[in-house]
Amino acid sequence: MSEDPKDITRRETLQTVGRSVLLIAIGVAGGVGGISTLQNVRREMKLKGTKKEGRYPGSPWYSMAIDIEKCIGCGRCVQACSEENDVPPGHYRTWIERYAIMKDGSVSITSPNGGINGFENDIDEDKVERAFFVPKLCNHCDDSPCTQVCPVGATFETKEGVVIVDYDWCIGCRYCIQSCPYGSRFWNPKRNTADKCTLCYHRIKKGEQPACAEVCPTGARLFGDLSDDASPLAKFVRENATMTMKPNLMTGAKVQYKGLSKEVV
Amino acid sequence: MKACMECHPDKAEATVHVKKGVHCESCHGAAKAHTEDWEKAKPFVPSTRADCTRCHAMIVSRPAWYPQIDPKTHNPDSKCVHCHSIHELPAVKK
Repeated sequence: MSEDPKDITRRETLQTVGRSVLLIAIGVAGGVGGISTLQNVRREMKLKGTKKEGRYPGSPWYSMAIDIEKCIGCGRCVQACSEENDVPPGHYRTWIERYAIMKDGSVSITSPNGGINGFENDIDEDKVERAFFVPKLCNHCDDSPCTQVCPVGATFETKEGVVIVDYDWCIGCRYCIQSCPYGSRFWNPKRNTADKCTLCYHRIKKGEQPACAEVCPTGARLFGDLSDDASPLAKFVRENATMTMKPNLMTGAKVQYKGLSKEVV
Repeated sequence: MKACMECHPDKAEATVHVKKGVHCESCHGAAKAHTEDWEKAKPFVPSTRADCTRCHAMIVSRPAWYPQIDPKTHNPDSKCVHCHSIHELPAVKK
């Protein structure tokens, strides 16, 4: 059969396109299937955990609630944290930010030295629509980006839900510092490792409060066990409208804020 | 707080701050050394205006319910403790 070069070209072209489309379709289907299977496994694992051990993966399940309407910005918490955990000057495991929403719609956010020495009344009252203090700390995420990116598993979530760093195991690659969407991690020049809030793990294991919650004069910081319905924290979360920082990132942040404005989230 | 009350129960009985839930170390600073050797290590004793105004100075971003004074107009030349009791009631001395 004599073949017209034009026909062959067309047929070959069509065959090639057909094969490519088929391969791409198989590839896409396989990829999607793979991802969805992983997601299902993850979801199933979580559901199993939920069924076995109640609403939270562990008990106790430590967390903190922050009542923004109670914070007076005295900075005692930052100071106590620094002293308790030997935090190098200029670095903060917890810090206070002052948000001032101006009448012209602009937002001013200040945190002089993390608020460790308190704040001055240095904003023009006439131009301010409203202003408030927001204490910040590690959110101890259940699905935390920092534990996911650590190449050596030096940072991990304990069975009580506290995210901590194994300082002997940290290789100092600083991926975790970059990955934290809340800016809660820092490089500790004294230890030469990444560092962060531990919810004062050494204190809470002895039944004490974290240093920041202990010294807060107005009770703006409430530490406790979320899994215990009778705990003051569980009661606070039950009775008030609270939310976490950046909930859209699905990090599973545990620290609950009451009175969180859209400028802060 | 518990450790403080073992030796200083009198300070808790009629104290405005303790009644409001303010812990001793909020004003006196970290005092673990004092619990280990109370004669050698004395905790910080707040006495200046700055010690009080750190919490009670008028700041626009402080919540309105919180007791605040303007340090520039509120008896600027005298110490807070001249008129106010820290550990006893009433909070304003007679």
